[in-house]
Amino acid sequence: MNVLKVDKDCFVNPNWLKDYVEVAKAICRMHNVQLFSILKVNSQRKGFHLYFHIRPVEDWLALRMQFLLGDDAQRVSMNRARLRSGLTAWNKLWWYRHRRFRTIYQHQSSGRSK
Amino acid sequence: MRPRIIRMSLLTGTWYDQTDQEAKSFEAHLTASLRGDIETNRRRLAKIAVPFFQKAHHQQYGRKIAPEKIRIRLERPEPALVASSEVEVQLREISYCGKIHHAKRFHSTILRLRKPRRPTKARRRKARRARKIVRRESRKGRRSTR
Repeated sequence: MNVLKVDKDCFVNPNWLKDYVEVAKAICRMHNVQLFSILKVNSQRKGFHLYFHIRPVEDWLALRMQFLLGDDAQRVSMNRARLRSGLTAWNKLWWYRHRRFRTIYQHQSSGRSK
Repeated sequence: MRPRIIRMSLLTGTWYDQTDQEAKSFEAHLTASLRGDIETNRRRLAKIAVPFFQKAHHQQYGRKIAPEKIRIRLERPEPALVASSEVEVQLREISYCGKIHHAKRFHSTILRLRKPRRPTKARRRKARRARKIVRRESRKGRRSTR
């Protein structure tokens, strides 16, 4: 798993988002995971989704990190059930066409883009 | 156009099962690598997936589900190496009991996407005529501007 997906069901101030990026970096550092970039996209109604591009990690660690990054509790529980049942694409996060992805963090050494 | 991995999920709403005494939902997860416009591919996939999902739901619970009650969702497409007409389908039953979700696995299947049908002779003729008219109109427009 090289992409972590986080669902946030509220809109926040850009300053709060800056702090959140620092928290995400700290969480990745804690688990020795290299963070390449963070993309943000508005969800259908009530918040936004975040996509963290990271160095590949095993599925259980990815799920744990998503929980630590403040993913929606219902989604964590559902994804855990899917992962236990052996579903390969367990990390479900719905995507809506014509929604624009914005990069809110990019690691300096990585040449990754959207 | 480059092929892309399209992940589609078909979901039912949650209902309460009196016999098992737990909340349940049924879902199908499709994975396909296809070329072309995402909207067209979504329609093509939904066309084969919805009847399959209805049949599986009926076999499992003995109840029919209307197509408008099925929620179809997509994930962000990812680049694929090759395109294929095969669609992998995995079925799961999610139950919620005792503050925890459980997923029950069902058989996984491979569906095949049909090639788009060639239009009938009459339709092709009609399209040719329409193209002709458009060309004539555009020529007329150019002359008038001169």
